[in-house]
Amino acid sequence: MTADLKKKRLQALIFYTVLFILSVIGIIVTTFIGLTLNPESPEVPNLMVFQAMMFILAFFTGMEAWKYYNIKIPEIRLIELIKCSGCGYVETRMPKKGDYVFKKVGKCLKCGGELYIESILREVKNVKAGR
Amino acid sequence: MLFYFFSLVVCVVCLMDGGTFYDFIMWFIFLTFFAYITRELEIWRIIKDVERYIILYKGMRDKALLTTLNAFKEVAARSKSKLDIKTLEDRVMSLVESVLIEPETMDPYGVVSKLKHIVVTGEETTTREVRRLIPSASEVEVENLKDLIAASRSMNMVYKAVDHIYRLGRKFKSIWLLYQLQALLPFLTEEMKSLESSLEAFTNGFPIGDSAGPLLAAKFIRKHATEIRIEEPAKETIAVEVPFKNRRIIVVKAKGPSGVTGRLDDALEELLVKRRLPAKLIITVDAALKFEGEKTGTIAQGVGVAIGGMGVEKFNIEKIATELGIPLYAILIKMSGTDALAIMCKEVYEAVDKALLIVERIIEEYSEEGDTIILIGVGNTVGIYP
Repeated sequence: MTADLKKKRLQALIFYTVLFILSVIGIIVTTFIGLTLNPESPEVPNLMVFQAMMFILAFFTGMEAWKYYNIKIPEIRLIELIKCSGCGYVETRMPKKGDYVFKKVGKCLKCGGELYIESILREVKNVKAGR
Repeated sequence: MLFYFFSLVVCVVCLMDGGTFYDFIMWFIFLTFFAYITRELEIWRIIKDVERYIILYKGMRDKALLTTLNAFKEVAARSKSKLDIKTLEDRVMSLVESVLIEPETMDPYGVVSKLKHIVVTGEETTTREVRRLIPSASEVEVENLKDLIAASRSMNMVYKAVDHIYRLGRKFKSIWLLYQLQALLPFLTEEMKSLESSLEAFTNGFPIGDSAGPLLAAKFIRKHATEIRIEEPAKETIAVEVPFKNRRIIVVKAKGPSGVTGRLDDALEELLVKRRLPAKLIITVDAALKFEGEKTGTIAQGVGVAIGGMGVEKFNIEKIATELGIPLYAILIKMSGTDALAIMCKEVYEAVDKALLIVERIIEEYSEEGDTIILIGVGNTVGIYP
């Protein structure tokens, strides 16, 4: 799930960044062309319209790229805490299907006490996710 | 109206500025067209926005259905049941599409018992249907499959309702219907996300955020009981007597580790009314929805019954407590909707330990030695035993 979301985010980020760069290049090129043209030339208004469109495109693609850059995909990890009722020894592992809290899972290798599942938890990093 | 007045003013100004009648007409047509196109564009924008959400909801609903079907197939394979896939799909779909018709409230007298009867009938019917499909499934597996069906049913209902309003709004080009739907979408998305996150927990049978109440009850039992003697005063509900600081604490919770919420009101009736236990205090602990600005794991204390659902259990517990004059105290562990149904997060787990200390303090401060106190861990006890 997380890997899938990360892939989608990267794809969108690349797409909008490329569009942004292209529109910025478009603005620079049209500016240079405009500088070489005679101000009285009939091509100037068309060039200005094209340049304005490039500005709008650059603005929106830049905003989108920034939005995707800021999206944090939460990384979820499942942890199972196993504890010894005798000596308090604790170990962690990935929870298995059918495990439940306070399930007895064997004997402690240190003291021979009873090992039981203390908790099954979900640890989340990068909690602030986008829409 | 205001727009047309504005258009007229613009047109009159145009005429006064030396424009011809032709200019006046052109301006008027242009502004009218502009007003029309703005409205159409707004409707189109909302429709596109709602469509995006509907695609998202459909994906979530389909994922839930697939997860439920796969869970059924897995349980059937594990218990070596012979199962026709087509029949299974049809039966699961009919379970997901099944409805619970709420009782008539024209005459509200006795509506709670009627509602309870309908809810219990619904639960028993689902259990029977699941058992009929996989007769050799264990009790825990049946309950977890039932929870998966319930999650899929809720997601299916949200998707269908949103799709219905969207289609109506589009058909009649009703911008107000679409506005209202659009305004509700953030809340519905949260609900869908919560339900989606519950799928993993119910498939594997791991505790969820809503299990905070039962986890606290189980922790209290393990911390203070010298000998754990479990009895079942009501269906799927257990009670354990625990000594604490020369007091007698009766801990009541749903019977785990399957995903059930128990029949806490029935258990309380059995203990307090039928067995006439002289309880001095009832403490309920439950998970509660936090406000957006609050942190997950915040604990709130109060009076009353901390219990969600359709209100039947809350009503019955309040009724028993009121008749017997027993004070009701509540502890709420706050979390978001997603945290409540997803596998329990670290913040909630740590909050349970803190809430346990608060429960112990309340018992010590609000009761005397020799008193009997009822502690109820409210919520789904999936992945927690006892």
